[in-house]
Amino acid sequence: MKEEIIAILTELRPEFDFTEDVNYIEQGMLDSFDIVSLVDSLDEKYNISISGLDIIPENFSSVEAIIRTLEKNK
Amino acid sequence: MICSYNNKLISSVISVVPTNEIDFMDEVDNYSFPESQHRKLAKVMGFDKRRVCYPGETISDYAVYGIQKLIDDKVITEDEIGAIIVVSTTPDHFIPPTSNVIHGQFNFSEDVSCIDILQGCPGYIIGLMNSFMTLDSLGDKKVLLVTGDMLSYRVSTRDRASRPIVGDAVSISVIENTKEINTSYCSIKNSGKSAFAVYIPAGGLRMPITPETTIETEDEFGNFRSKNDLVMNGDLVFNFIINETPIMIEELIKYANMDIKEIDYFLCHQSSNFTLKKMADRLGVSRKLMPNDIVSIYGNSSSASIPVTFCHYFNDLYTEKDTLKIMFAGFGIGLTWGAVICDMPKPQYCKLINYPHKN
Repeated sequence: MKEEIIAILTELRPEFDFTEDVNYIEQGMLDSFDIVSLVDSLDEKYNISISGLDIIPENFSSVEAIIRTLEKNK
Repeated sequence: MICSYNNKLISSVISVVPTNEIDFMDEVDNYSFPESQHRKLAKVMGFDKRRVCYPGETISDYAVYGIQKLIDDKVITEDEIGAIIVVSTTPDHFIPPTSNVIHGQFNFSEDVSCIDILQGCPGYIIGLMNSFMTLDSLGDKKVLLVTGDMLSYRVSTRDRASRPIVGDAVSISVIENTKEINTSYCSIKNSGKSAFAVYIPAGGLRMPITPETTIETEDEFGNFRSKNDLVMNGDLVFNFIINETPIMIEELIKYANMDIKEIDYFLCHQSSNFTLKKMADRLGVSRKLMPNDIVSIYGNSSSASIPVTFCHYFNDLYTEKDTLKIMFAGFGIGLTWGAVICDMPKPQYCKLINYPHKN
């Protein structure tokens, strides 16, 4: 799953290396429009609908945070 | 405020839109989007086409054209109107009220009430509630509810948060008392502590427009705006809408002693495709019952977006029933959020027409 998520992130913002252990939000790698696009891609990829309540920056600040968000919304 | 009104009817609706169609892909160079975001955002947010007025056009121009059309088509007569309620954030002038300007273009009685309400995205809900309240004092007279905005004047061309979705439109709803027994349920909520989540800094008395307020500066996301332009904290507004609106809707359904499955359609303010899809999912209703693509066709036309949605989908809504139970819901500027549940027999007249630009 980790590799799949990194692939989605890279497709979204190819100029960044999402394998780095950094906070994507604090580093400016993802903005609010990226998060919206990411949610749409994750919804499609995993056939879920991430709750609007979970669409907050901290839930998309790292691959681990994204995996936790996905698990919560399965 | 949660309340109900008896025996009210939205009998006719007309929406007037500009013919000037803007394509998002023609404007992407204005924004600081990375190349990879363009097409993805177009799909997810509904950034596509939008209708925008031409310079010099105002709310009253479109409203007068729409009302004249209602008169010409024998939907209303001037002597049966008891009130004109205009809901807009972009009035023709500070003084006089736009409702009075519209009143002056026709032979309405001097007894007609003229009321202006300054509201945007939730404006149709507030307009409906005020129309229902007014009708309790009007007997057999009717209300002309005019809702709409020309916000394209006040959104920076280099603001990617707002410019790609802003559209202009004006709708007129004819609302009257009816002998049919029905109850309309209404809820409206406000959070003034978040009032500046959507605002225009300059132009009022707090900050008059000066040469300095026209200077554009760049924000942390690469948007350029002047103090005369709309500023929207998109993250805050999205989270607010997603958190609060479903709670309000569920509370209203409970107040109406209904089940959510009894509602045939949810016609919401068209803020973005994404927001409305998530709203439908949160409420557990089919996305098909909550149209979400109007923003891609006409743009977000503020207080006109709900009646524009109704007019656009009119022929599709009444295929199986002659009377629908519809929930209208609006949210945004204020911050304000509200909804109305009403029985809606198929209106005698419902049209979406283009404004005949002079140039």
